[in-house]
Amino acid sequence: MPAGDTCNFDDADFLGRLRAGDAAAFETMVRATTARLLATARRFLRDDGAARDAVQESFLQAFRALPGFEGSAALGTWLHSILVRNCLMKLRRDRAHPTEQILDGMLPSFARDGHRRNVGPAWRSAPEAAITDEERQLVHERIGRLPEDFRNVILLRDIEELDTRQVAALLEVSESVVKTRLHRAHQALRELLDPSLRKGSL
Amino acid sequence: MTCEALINRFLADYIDGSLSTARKADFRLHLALCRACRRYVASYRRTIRLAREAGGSVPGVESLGEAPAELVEAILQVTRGS
Ligand SMILES: [Zn+2]
Repeated sequence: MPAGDTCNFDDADFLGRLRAGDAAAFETMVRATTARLLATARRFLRDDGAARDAVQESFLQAFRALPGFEGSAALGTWLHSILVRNCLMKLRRDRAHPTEQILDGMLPSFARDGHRRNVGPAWRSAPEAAITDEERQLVHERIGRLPEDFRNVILLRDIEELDTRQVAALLEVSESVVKTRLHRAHQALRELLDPSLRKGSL
Repeated sequence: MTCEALINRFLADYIDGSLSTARKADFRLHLALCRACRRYVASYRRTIRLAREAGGSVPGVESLGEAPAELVEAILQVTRGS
C-alpha cells in the first residue's frame, strides 16, 4: 500500500489504548487517516457520498475489530485493506448485470497481417524527476475513464501496490485473469494518455 | 513475431521477466527492427511507471487537504454512542 499514512501510531502504547477502546486514541487515528482513506474510496467508487459512507462504515468495522487487532500489519495498512474490501463489495453489489466489460476504442490497432498500421508519435521525453502534480492528476483522471473492471485492477496493483495473488483473492478471479486484465488496462491507459503525452502536446 | 503478437501477447511477460529465452530473443529481434513497436513499448513502460508513481503518496499528501469535518464527526460518534 502507499506509504505516507503511517504517522507513528504503531507503537505499543498507542495500540494498547486503541485496543482498550480509548476514545482519544481512536480520534487521533481517525483524524490522521480519514483524508487519505477518503481519497482512495473516491477513486474506487467515483461518488463522494458513496465514498464517505464507505469510509464511515470501515471505521465502524475497525472500531469493533480493534480489540482483536494483533498488529501483524501496520495500523494504516490494516485500515486501508478494510476500506478497499468495502469499496469492492459495494461495486459488486451495485453491478446489476456483471457483463464482461470491453475497452472499445482503447486498444492498439493492427493491419490485417498483424503489423502496426503506423509508427505513431513519440512521447515527449520523460525527465528523471518525480512525477509532477499535473501528471498525477492527468493519470488519475484517465484511470477514471476506464471501465470498472480495468480501473480496479490498476488501482489495486499500481496505486495500492498489492501483488497479483492478493488482487486475485480480492476480486475472486484467477491470477492469470488479473495479469491479462492488467495488461489490457495498461494498454488502454496508454491509449488514453497518448494525446496528452506525445511530443509537442502542451 | 508480428507487432500484434509482441504487443498483445508477449509484452507484459517480457516486462516482468517471465518470457522464455527463445521467445525473448524473438521479441528483441523484432524490437530492433521495428520502430513502431519500440515506440509502443517505450510509451507502455512509461504508462506503468506513471500509474505507479501516481499512487506514491509522498508529495501528494498535502494536496489531499483536510478531511471533511462532518465526516470526521460522524465517524467519531461510534465511540460515543454504542
Ligand atoms: Zn512491430
